[in-house]
Amino acid sequence: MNTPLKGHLKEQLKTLSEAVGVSGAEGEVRKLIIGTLKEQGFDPAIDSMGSVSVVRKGTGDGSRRVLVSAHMDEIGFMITEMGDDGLIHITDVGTHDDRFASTQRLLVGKEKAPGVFLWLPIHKSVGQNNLVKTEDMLIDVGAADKSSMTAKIGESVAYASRFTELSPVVMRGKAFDSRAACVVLIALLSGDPFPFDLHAVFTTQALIGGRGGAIAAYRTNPQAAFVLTGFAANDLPGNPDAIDFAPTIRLGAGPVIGALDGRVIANRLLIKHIRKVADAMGISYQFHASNGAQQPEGGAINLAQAGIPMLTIGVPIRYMGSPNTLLNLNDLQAMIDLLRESLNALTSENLEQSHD
Amino acid sequence: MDLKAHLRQLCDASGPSGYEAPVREVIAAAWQPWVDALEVGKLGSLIGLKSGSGTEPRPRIMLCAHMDEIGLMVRQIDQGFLKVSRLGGIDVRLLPGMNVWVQGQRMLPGVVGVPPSFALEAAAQNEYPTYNDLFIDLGLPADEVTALVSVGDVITLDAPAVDLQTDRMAGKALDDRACVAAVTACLDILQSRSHTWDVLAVASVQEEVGSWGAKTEAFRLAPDLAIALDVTFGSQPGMTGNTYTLGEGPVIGLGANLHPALYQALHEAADRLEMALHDEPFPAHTGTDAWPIQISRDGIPTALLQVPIRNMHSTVETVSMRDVERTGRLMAEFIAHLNADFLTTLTWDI
Repeated sequence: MNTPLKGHLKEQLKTLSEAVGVSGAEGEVRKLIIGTLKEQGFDPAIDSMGSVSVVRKGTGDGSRRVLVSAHMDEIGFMITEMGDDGLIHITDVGTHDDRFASTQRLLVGKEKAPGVFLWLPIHKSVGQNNLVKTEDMLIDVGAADKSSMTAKIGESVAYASRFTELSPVVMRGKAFDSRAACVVLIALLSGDPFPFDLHAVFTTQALIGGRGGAIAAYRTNPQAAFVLTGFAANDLPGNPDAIDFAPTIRLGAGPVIGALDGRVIANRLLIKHIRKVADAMGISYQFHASNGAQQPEGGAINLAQAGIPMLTIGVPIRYMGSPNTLLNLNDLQAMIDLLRESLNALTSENLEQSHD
Repeated sequence: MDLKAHLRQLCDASGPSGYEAPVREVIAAAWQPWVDALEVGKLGSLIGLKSGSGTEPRPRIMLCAHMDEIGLMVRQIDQGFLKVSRLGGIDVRLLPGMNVWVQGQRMLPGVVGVPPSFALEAAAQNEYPTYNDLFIDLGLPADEVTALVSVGDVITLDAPAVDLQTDRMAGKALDDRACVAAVTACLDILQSRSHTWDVLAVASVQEEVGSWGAKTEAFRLAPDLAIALDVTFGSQPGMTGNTYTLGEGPVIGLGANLHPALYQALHEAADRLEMALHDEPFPAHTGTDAWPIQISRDGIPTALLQVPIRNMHSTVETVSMRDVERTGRLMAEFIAHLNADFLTTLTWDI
């Protein structure tokens, strides 16, 4: 296992987590990833959707291709109107949990101007307990009127979350679902080559429908795909009578294999394969199986070309959809170790036989 | 002095009601060069004495701004997660997803968690969680939490101040550190202006839970006059009642809690400075330190000066530095003009 890597993973995760890359405006993250890939000796290509891809040549003849995708985008907002009163109107990008938005700090527009949501004082809103939708919230950047504002309609707004270590292994920050996936994919690109060509794609627009992944899968037309992401952990106190109360995904209990979501049913043989490898390595893992939550990128890749056998795998994350989520670095490391070994162990038979 | 840097430092310091020591240290360090003596009252309020040039016994004016902030306290520890009680009027709706510091055996960073929304009944998905639903997540194993945290440990909101455009700042405790900064500004100006009265600058404790620091210091110090300082509602969409535009000047209270002649004298000071001073009427309780100060001992003529802020009692309270600076300047002007006979002019029916 690569335990000494952990410090490096943490630094990389911090940099990527604090960068801004709302769906459709992933530029800052793209730039960071291209820089890292070039340092690793790759010559990254950018496709028509802004996704970044490299090919890690394998030991085979190039006829076997495996796609591994990690999305770069995060949830955020888009500016829809600049008010005469100096306040900014927004609309959601991606799916938000509005419970978490109330008084967060923000980075507004291309210049990342500091801003805050306006929040009606409790003295003036006692008893108003209905969730305020983020689309109904206004942003204050301190401007007295429209003329002094630098941001423009159509530019994005992101949460201004600082990456913080809560313990040697538990990290707090934003956009971990995408940026942890990017860290894992970058790690897979170093080390010995795989028995197939690894097509690594850092995708755009995953959170608004898996659109970057869809064309990447079409273009590479792989025999199998692994989609990297994050899964909501539910190992939290709550009402025991509530739906889905019993914890199924725990922080620190290993990577999560997505068996089912609202968009895709994972390939049975790939699940079997990765379980076998994990059991042999003694790596603990968990499953996600819910019709509700969606990992749009997995669904999009699964239905590209004539259908691509795929598997979604991710790190557990507490408070998904909020600006301050928690992630355990041990899960990240285990995901790298498990994926590297599972990819290495993929045989030609695995790649030829997509169903039983 | 750099008033904005001073206020940022005040705002980021920790000091929930009853646990004001860290912010008191910051204020004491800032006031120390401007005052003749510093002392700490029995409940923890900080008092800076700046002696006047008049003959003894000199009359004394108290400037009182509270230094405590709203916070939380550990109520219960449940399998490594912390349940909380309120310290002051915190708005539960802004807590989910909030970063916090738990003052345990050491400072522990954490986040306020709630169960995932998919694990809620449909009706609860459109509402904010209650105190019983939310908990603090330190990201630590349960046994470590038990070793590091006790019921009764204090929690502050981790929300460092941010500079916005123009002269505005957003932060967690501008209520009432903006007014503490105004007092600092006043002391600074009084270095170069002679004044005959003694000035008692008070950073009071436990305002958010009932103005208890102001009550005890008004009794102990027994000043001849008092100006209480607090924040009031800045203009923002959706507000009802009186609101005041940020950056357009301080606000003075009027009503039963406040002495009319003192109100008048402060308006005259504002006129001398050609400074806009807006009125806020209060039919009874002002909800500030002015309330207990007015009836301390045999009564203390009291005024209320206020700085407008947006988003009161949140972590994004927003202030215009101009209002803070002007409030300080107004008090200095008023104090510099106080003479030995002022109290005799202070009649109720003017």
